[in-house]
Amino acid sequence: MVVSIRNLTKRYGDLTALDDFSLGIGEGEVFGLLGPNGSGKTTAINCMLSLLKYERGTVELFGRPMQPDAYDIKRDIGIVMQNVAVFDELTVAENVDYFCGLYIADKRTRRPLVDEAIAATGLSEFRKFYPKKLSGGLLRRLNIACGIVHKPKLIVMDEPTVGVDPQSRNNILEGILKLNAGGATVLYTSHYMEEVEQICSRIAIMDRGRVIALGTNAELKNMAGAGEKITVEVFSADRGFLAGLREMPSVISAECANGTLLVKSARGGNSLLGVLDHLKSRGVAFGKVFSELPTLNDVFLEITGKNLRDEG
Amino acid sequence: MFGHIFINNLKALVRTKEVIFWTLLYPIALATFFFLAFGNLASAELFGTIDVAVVQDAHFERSTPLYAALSSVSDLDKDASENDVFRVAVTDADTASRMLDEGEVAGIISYDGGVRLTVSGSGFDQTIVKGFLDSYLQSESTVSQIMKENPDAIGEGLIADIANRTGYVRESAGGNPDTTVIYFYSLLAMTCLFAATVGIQETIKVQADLSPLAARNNVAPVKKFKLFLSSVSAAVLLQLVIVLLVLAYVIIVLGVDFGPKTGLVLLTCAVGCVTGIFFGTLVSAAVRRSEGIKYAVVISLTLLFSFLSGMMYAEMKYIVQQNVPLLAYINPVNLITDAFYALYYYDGLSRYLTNILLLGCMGAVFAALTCLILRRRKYASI
Repeated sequence: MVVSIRNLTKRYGDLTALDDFSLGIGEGEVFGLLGPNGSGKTTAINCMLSLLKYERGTVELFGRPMQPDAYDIKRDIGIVMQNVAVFDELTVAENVDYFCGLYIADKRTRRPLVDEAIAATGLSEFRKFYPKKLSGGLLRRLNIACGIVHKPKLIVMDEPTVGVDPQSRNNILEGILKLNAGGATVLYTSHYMEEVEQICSRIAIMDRGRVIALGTNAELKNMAGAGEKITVEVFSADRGFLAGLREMPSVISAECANGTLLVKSARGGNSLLGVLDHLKSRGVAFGKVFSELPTLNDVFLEITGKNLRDEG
Repeated sequence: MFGHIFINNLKALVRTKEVIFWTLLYPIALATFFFLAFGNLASAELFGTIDVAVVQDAHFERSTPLYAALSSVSDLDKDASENDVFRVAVTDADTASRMLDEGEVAGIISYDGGVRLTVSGSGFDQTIVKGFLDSYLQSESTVSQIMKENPDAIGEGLIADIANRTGYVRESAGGNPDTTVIYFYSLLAMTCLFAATVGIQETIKVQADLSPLAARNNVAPVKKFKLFLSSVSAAVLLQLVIVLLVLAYVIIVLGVDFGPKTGLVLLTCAVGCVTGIFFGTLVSAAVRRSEGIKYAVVISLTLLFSFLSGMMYAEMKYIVQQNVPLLAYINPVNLITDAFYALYYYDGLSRYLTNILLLGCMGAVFAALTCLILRRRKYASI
């Protein structure tokens, strides 16, 4: 195991930020820690990196206990903070070189690594720019370049795409997969389920300092009772067709409001054709039709009764 | 590693506009303001040779003691010197009166049943002439009294001794003390202590609960003490250069006199800068509030210390020294100001050494307390 956290408990006064939190990450994984804001993701990372004190539990990285003075372990870790952590007064290239220099003393060894990190994050044109001159997306990329420049074995990324434009986000996600392909283990936290679904091989869903679900993307979705979700634009004031829909064996629920019909079917069931046939047979005119498979939000909703992004 | 962190921190500091403004441009602007505001005040207090007219008549020619007294402090003896207090024009009453009206002389000394002084206004020069004559009249009265009671004293050179004021005059005219230098001394001391703002920045870079940058630094495989020491060393070097630039501006451009002991003046600046930086690191480490509050605390305390050491009101330094001497000894700005003052006014070094040792000890205490607080490696919250 690259990361092994057992029974971690961390309190801020009366608030329990981590409640018997346990996690294991194997070598070569892109592991996603998904949870709403305030669920304890950043606290878990800070405890793991020995920045925060905790009341109970153990943290082992690369099979050794993690301590503030465990410099041999720290040498193999790269961190991308949630808040951008760079010098405003140093240029892009100087920033990347500075953080690389904290791990690698020899300047000649550093030079190709700095060039590589800058190129990998798409910042080659901005080498001599000061951070204040960069857009939000480019600044996030610089934040990442500073964290990965020394080619760490374990990369911890704490919400690296917050406030980033779609182009930069895609660039960042592709970059993470490349790093993983190069041998790095990645711990990636986010409250964007689409990102986690896109890049992570395993996912832990957190709420109130606890892991409430753990598995691959498919395994987690299988935990949801609901299956396909069908949305149909209907042009009929008559609601008589709803009773027939609700009697269909694979349908869990059917509701219609403001000209939109929402049908939820049971997991494993395929109701789309049946629903459309029923509407035709009842002479209900319809327009746009959408069919969605369950998302991680549905899983979270089912377990906690709330939405991932609604929680502040 | 030390050099890598040192150089990059130095680069970052040099490029920080706030640092350059508060520690370099602001003191230079303030020094220029002081120079413009106090320049005339200082020159008004300079001793220069004062023009006086003496009415030549029979009384004056017979008054040997007055002639002798005037000769000893003027060019009346035909031997002009830069130590002369008066340049005497011996003339008739009408010419003397015209010279007074036209401002060519500060006063007219005449003899009309007794020594008389006529002036057309009040001022520094007129006060000196009056002081001289008062002193002469007092001496004359004393001599008359002695002559009555001990006539033999005349033969023992009493008149010549009393008339001779050369020693008194030379001592006063040679020193040209300028009280406005206190303003510049405390300004330079304030500049040293403003290094505290840089100290705040350097602490924020290593204390993980204060900034994301510090958190990233703490995750790196570098000892926290090494990180802190290299950052602070960069700050010390920058501040030392800045204080030397301010000092050069004050001495060379504004012409403020810091005395001949240049090496000790530089030592004072160096110790002052180090103490200032550790003052900032201590406030930053101890005050568990936002960055803005840390800066507010440091700048407020520095200005208060500067006020108490005479930067806004020169007399304040003496008021504090007389009434609350302990406050003078624990005020770093006052210790730096007083060190400059001691170098300028005193030949001996005991007062200077007391100041510099106290200042050095204060810096050491600030540094030790900072290290004690910063040695914590894990935080309760970030």
